[in-house]
Amino acid sequence: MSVDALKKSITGFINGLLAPIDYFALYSSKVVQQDADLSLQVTPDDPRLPGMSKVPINLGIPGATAKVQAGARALLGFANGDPSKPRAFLWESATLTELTIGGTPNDFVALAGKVLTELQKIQGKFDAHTHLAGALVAPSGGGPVTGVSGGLSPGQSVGSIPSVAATTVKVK
Amino acid sequence: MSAFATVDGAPVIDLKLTMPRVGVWVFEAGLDTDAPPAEGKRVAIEIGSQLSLSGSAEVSQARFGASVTRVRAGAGGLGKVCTPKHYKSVPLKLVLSDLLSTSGEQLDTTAEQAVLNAQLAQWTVLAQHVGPQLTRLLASQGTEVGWRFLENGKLWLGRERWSSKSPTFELLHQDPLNDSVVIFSADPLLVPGATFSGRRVSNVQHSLIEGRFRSRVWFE
Repeated sequence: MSVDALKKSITGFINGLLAPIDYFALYSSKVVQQDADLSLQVTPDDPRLPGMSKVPINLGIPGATAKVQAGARALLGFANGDPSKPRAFLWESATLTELTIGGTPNDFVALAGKVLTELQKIQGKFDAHTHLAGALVAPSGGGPVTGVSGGLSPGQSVGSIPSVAATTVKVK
Repeated sequence: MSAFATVDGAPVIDLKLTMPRVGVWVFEAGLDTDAPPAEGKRVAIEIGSQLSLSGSAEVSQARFGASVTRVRAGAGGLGKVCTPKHYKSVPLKLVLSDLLSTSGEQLDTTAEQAVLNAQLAQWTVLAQHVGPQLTRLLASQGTEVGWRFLENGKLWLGRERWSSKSPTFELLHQDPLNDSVVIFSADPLLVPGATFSGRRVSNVQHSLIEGRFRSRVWFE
């Protein structure tokens, strides 16, 4: 074996030890675009992975879907370490444009949407988790809230909500 | 007197040929020449009168008027690094074709068409060596699908056909712990993926040491 070939072999071996690449790790990636079916086109930071499309989002909330703006960052991995099952997990940073929980719209959806929209205006930046929880865990009993005006703040009571069978909340 | 085995016509002093049912066969030999095949060069190996192999010299070194060499099946390219690529709605043979292109290897015409035509909804090739990527790709088609390099140095893949081989042989040793036998056969006909004495052959190692040719056969 020539000296160059030996050096190349040793370098490759050491690189493989220091930064191995496989299907069981998570890789930081940037969202290039989100398609109509809500799957993502992503570009991993690590050049040893290809750019990918039709990557489903594993949001971690049963039945939930999300729309995000291009430029969002998430971790990319493979379900069961299977090269045919890329998934986007765990947002590093992202601008949420739409979040859907469940699938059956009702009056409550519109109400919650209004509430959250107001909250978004107040904060300038929408923190979906905090405010969504605040809106959903409003006091029970009584009739539905019929209108929401400005001036709400996170955690503030927005009125009473009747029992809600469906749990679809859409923020837009 | 002609040599029992040769490498590009050079007489072989001793040899060890390891042939797995899944993977790459490797040939190591001492040669009666001070000019062994250059590393990377394609070489032709003859063993006995019925086993011809085509591979690439991986390591060669001359010493004391003789030489040693190690040859891997085909182009010896499974250690090359793949170009990362994502595929959608493609037949398996398209991904395979890219892997073979990277490695410089060739597909044998006996490869199973059903496997080659299997549709992949998605597939992701990482910048890994071709060998692990090839293994991963074919594993997606089930554990019964295997691959190996044939004697001609081309890649075969598919489900085993377990063709029957019946060489004339002398049983020299049985190893029940490892489920293997050592035999002498005038012609080293045995290769993995065949049946021998009614049993499925998993791995074969042919060796020529101090003028004695032996074949060790591991069963499934």
